Amino acid sequence: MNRFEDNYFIERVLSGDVSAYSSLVDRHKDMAYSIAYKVLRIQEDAEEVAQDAFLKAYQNLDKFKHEAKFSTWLFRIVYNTAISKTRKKRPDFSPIDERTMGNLTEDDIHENLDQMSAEEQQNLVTAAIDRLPEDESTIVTLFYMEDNSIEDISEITGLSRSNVKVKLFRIRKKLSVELHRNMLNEAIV
Amino acid sequence: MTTYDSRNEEFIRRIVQRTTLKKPSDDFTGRIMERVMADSLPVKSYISNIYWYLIAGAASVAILMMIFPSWTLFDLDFSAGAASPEKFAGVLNAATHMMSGFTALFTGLKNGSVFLFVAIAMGLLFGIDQLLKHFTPDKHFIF
Repeated sequence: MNRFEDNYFIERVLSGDVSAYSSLVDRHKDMAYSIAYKVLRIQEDAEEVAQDAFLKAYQNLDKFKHEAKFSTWLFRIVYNTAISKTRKKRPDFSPIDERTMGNLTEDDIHENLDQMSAEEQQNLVTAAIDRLPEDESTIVTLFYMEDNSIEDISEITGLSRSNVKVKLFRIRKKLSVELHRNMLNEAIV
Repeated sequence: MTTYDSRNEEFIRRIVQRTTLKKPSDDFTGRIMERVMADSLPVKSYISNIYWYLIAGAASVAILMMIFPSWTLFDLDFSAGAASPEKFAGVLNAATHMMSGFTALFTGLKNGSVFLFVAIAMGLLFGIDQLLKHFTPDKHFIF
């Protein structure tokens, strides 16, 4: 996303053209909703949180400092709003056992993935990401799908840069394990 | 990062990018815009708080300069004798001049006094601005 285009729409909103905000919503709604969903795991809750976050961002648009990207600022609001909600209602997830990593190779996984249809691949990877804890699932989405930098992710999640790096390292391992496990399950079925 | 880690990183990136972002409902933007339209317009303050604090600081310095005429940047004199009721009376007198009209004001003022009154006026506006920001929920304030 081009930050200069975001700034253009922000200036229009602040100048009184409220409808320009819909452009900002359209540009960032998928990622905002995805972040909320990664944290909450319930579609209705994720949609409500994403909407609340967009409204909060609008109400505080005059306080947005252009030092950071608008998306970084917005996603931080989304993440914090979602975290606040999940503290009230924490979803269950099964932790991935990292001890089973030893006998894996990425080539095995890659080979199996290539034999699957695009839809199967997508379902498998999505399921693997969804099995990660909420913060790690969010980091994967921000880092790999939105190409946010470590600094941006640190800003959004409130984690230190080194913590983000460590988490990314662990996430890669966990995803490999989870993909392998899912493939084995598919093979058994 | 080892060669294995580097390959694994590239592999994970590739497979994650095969997935797509989750999509909200079709009327997502419309529902947000309904709420946005019902809300008040965020108004950009033309003078940010940092400048207001600088103005308030300048006003304070100007007042000190009036009360302590021997005060300079390099020669601070905050002794009890430096301030006197006569000097306070002088400030009040100047304020009376201001109230009685600009002509009388500008002919009756000493060096630096114009700056003082401008600074005090700006300080008052800052106070009003902050009060309006605090007490008006729709954020329509003068600055």
